[in-house]
Amino acid sequence: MKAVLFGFSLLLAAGCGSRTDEVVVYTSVDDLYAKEIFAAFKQATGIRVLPVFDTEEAKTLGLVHRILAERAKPQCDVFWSGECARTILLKKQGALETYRPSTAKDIPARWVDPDGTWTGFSVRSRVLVYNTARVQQPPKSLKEIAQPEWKGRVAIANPLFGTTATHLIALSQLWGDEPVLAFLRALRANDVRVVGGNSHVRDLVARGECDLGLTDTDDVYVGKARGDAIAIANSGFESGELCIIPNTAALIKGAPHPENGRRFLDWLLRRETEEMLYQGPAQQLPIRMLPKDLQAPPMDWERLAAGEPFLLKAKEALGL
Amino acid sequence: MTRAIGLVLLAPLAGFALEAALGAGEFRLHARAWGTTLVVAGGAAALALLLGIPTGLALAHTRRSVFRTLTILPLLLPPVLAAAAWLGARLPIPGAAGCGVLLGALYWPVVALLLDASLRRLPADAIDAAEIHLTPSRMLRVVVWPHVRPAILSAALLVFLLAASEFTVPALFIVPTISMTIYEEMSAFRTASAASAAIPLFALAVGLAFALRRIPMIPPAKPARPFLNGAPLAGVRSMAGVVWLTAIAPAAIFASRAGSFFRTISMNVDAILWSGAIAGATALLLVAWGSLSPRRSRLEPLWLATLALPGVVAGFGALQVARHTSLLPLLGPSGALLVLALMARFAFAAWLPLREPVDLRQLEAAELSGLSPVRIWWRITAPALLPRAAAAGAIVFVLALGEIGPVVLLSPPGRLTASQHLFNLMHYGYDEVVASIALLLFGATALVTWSGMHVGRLRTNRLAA
Repeated sequence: MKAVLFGFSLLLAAGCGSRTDEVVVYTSVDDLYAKEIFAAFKQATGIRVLPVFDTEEAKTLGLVHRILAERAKPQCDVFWSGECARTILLKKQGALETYRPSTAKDIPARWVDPDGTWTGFSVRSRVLVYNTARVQQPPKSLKEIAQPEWKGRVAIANPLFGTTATHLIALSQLWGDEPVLAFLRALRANDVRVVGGNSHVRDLVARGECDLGLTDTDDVYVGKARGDAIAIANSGFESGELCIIPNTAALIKGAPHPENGRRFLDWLLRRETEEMLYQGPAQQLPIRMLPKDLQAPPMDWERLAAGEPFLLKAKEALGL
Repeated sequence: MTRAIGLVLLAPLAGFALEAALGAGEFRLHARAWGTTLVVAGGAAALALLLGIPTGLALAHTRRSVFRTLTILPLLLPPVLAAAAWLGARLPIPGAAGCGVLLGALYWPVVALLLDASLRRLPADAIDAAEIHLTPSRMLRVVVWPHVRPAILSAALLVFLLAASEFTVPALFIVPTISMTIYEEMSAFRTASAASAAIPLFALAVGLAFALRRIPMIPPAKPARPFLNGAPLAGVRSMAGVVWLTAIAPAAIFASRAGSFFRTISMNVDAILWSGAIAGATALLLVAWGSLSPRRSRLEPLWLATLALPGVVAGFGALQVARHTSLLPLLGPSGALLVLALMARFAFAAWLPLREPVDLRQLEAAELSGLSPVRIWWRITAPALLPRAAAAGAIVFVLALGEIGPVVLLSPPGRLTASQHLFNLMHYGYDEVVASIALLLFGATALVTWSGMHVGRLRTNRLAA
């Protein structure tokens, strides 16, 4: 019995103490991309980044629950999300500190929280990916994929989570709730394949099990880099359905290393760091590079945070 | 003290129940998710019976340890790795029935091992008498079946529960089972609704715990003897041979695709070592706890319920208990909370093999002979306990190594387990890195299990000498 207690005490002792030259970052960004950024930050500042990663299928559940559970005594300094919905949820819960990074002043106001709790940067877009060996004429708009000619040939990801959820809410803002639900019902009637994540959508298309899929640009670029016969069919420019999803970063209220957290945010939101992410395998476009007359409609952040009831209807419309 | 630790191990379940009582969402039936779960878990249980029964029969008629090792192999494979192998084999994305097949192909050893254990306790006298008076088929019906029925039914229920609570495979292939529903509801902060989805799993687990209490764990004084021969034995051996071949298929797939193996491993050595440390600490602490009070406990149904619910429940419950007791800053950063959650999740897996290693009559006889308690433990209990402790340690190590649910919620900053890393890598599709790490994890778990079986036996022989 003493052995059990001794073993547990050793574990506790191992974790006691917090160093001043570190910053704790909870991130839903894939570890392959984020690790390079963390290493570069350490090299530039000498501050070690202690990351907590999520998993693709966990859909940021772990990180958000942790941050909320830790609110009395936070362990995390910075929350860096690959999208925006969960960050806005944390803001609503009062878990974020107001901080406007000095390096982010040139980021357009539409990508920054008006209250200054979070800042958007490096973006991905929602796109249609198609198999170049099987599709000669890809659709020109999103609505076309619900047409009978694509029956059984289209894949999408779980609508309850991640960028697919954000995309559906953005579409409901553009089209209205009922037309989006009707579109999903039409997809269901068209035998759409619903899979766990956007990368699986890409894989189905790359393997020819589906001809078309709705996914993110980063997934397509990763697939193309490894030689998949896929291409982007339409990014919504023609029909005004472009959905741009920024990364978001925020300082946690009561962070244990607030100064290091601010330094990390300043560093992360630099133009140069955006360039690094652009050069990486996901090729996330610097937000500063987006045209001023961007065709994408502005995202209603409040609607995004309150989108859960609509997403449940979307899930039902897809028969899940 | 042992009981106190046993109660502490129920804290995550209590934390989840508390949050469910306080949390948002309404209690719902989740009939649709249960319908899918019945297909997945029912299919898995049916396939496990189909593959496990002939293999268990074949196992009971052989003394060669290589077949036992082959039987254990699929259990060593975390489901996420099985899914990786599935994708690696370029098989189509499965639906509910396919998920059932995949999980059944992982869990059939549960049936085989419990059936083998039950057959080895078949009284030799009963077989002798039956062979004189009954035809072989009637002997199977009248003597063998009633004896093994509780083991087979318990094994089928255990497979059903494991498959129903498995999260990684349904999440990867988006088959909306009850474990995915629990996860989705928790993700949307509807804890009460998540709990209502979990209640039937909880009830089944409690029922199973009571069923398992009826299965004797004490080895028989007189060894059983083979009862199959001729064509029937050749038949079950052929079927088992095919099943055993499938057991090495995942390793073969990983090996064929694992390019630059050593380079990949050296690049991921941190995650691999951290996984080993967490799984090792969990196994050691649980075995130490289980070894010191090898008796039945009324808490067993609750430990089994923690095992039968999706892993995220234990992780979430532990997180909430630590939050309410203000222990989170102390336990979180060290990994102690993660170990605690893993211990809670796998307490039953350690407890069951260690329960009642020695017949109480033997202990009474030793006490009456005037042996001191220390000497009784050293000479009688320890030799019986050690192989079981090694096996229990290996089982817990393997289960903890492949666990994802609590890891996502409780990993300390700066740490990533190999399974978590693997899950992330699969985001990029199947590639050499995934195959290399999967192969290493598979090899490590096989080595640990083999060592657990053999080292425990060697040590026992030395003690008994």
